[in-house]
Amino acid sequence: MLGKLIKNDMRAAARGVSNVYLAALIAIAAMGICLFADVGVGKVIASILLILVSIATIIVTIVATLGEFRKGMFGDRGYLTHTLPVKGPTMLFSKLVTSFCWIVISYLLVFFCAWLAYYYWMGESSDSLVYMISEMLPELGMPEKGVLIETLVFIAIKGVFLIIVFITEVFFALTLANVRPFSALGGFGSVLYFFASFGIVVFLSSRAEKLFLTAVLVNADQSLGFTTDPGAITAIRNAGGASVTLTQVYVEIIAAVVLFVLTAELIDKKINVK
Amino acid sequence: MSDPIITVEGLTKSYGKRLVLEDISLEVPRGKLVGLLGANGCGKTTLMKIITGLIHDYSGTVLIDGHRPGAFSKGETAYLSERTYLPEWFRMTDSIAYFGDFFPDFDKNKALELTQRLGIDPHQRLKTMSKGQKERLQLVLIMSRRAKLYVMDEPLGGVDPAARSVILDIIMKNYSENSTMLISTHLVHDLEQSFDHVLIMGRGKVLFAGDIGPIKAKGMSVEEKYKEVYGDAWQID
Repeated sequence: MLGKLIKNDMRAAARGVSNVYLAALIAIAAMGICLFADVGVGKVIASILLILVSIATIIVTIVATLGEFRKGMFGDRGYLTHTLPVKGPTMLFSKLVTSFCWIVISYLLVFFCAWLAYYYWMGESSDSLVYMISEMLPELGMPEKGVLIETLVFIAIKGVFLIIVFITEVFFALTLANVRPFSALGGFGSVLYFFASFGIVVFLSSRAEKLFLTAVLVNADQSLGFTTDPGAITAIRNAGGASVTLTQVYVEIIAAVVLFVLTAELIDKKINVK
Repeated sequence: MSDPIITVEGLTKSYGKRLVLEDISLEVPRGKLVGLLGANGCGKTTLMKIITGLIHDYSGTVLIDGHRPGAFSKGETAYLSERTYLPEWFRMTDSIAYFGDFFPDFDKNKALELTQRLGIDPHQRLKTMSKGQKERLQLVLIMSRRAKLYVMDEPLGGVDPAARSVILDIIMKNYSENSTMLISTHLVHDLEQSFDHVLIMGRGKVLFAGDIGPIKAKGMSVEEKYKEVYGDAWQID
């Protein structure tokens, strides 16, 4: 049943984001045409368009996928969603997976567009510029290319958890805003509950990091380590390595699980479809 | 009543300070066509939404085939709401695929057959359909299930007399004898010949529950019984 839910939720969300993806495709096509036709002004316009569209893609995707949750659960379509023979956690997990996938796709599109725009403008000198910058990194007081890439991988993993906790915060806020007596505040309530849950998670993350620091260390030889000692972080940075703190990730995982369970409970036991 | 499909005991539901259902208890017999009658605002829709698992914050006990409203009971219940709940971008073919995905008792061929009978283009999007067409489409989807329990909220509400007979025809011809059908309506006259059992609600309470037989034996129609139960208040309630 979960697979069918995800399939249908992905399809429904795709309807909301298809226009902005189409715009991105058009911008890419326009860039290609201008490149072959060698139209200078067109190149500038197409590049600006691509950057604007790629940024809009993230915003539109977040608004559309999370809006889809609200419409599908608490709008008229809730009459269909809540009469399906599916338990609350399954329903919620499907919507979490759907929103997560679409948001990640939008980020990937932005990175792809940035990469495309870079090569578009730099042309044949693009690879040599990358090489030159990577050679300059140590002189700029930054870790070497290999260390930097490994560090970026860990930052990306942190980003993944950040997206998940963000989605669960929004789902929780939208659901709570549809439960009595919290529904009394209407749409404003969902904004308030989102910022409340977001603020609590941020506060707990920062408190936890002060209480018990944990970090992954990327040594200068690209080997990995793990530490709970703040001194080790300073030392590894001085030795040309890098570090990524992990405490925040633990708190985010716990927060996401708690918010997910609470939201599923509210869906199964408290929701009134209007 | 032996082995009812729906059992409600001490059900109370309020919206804020407004009490909608007040300590009601009832049983819906299995395999019958049951009319849920009552004036607007008497709690019929709320009761149906509780039965179908759309409302959760109530006190009392509600059992559908021995189970609290939830994933299991939803698999056995086909609900026709008063709202059009399908996405506007859906075509009839999408709706059929969707119901086929989630309801194992859904008969796709029957849905297509009924769609053709009603003259609905299966490839037409919902956003281009009239309200009446959408309602008929939802009815087709519901009646294409082989559910144990059908719950229909005002299937004839806001429908012109010609369409009303088509809807009634679809309901009567496609519901199986083993199923139970709970239909809310205030168009008592149109449906009274079909009912086996009636529940009359008023002011959040069940005012009358019983089989049609004894009513007819007294030489009364359901409509007359309805008026009798409501007394003088029925016109203004």
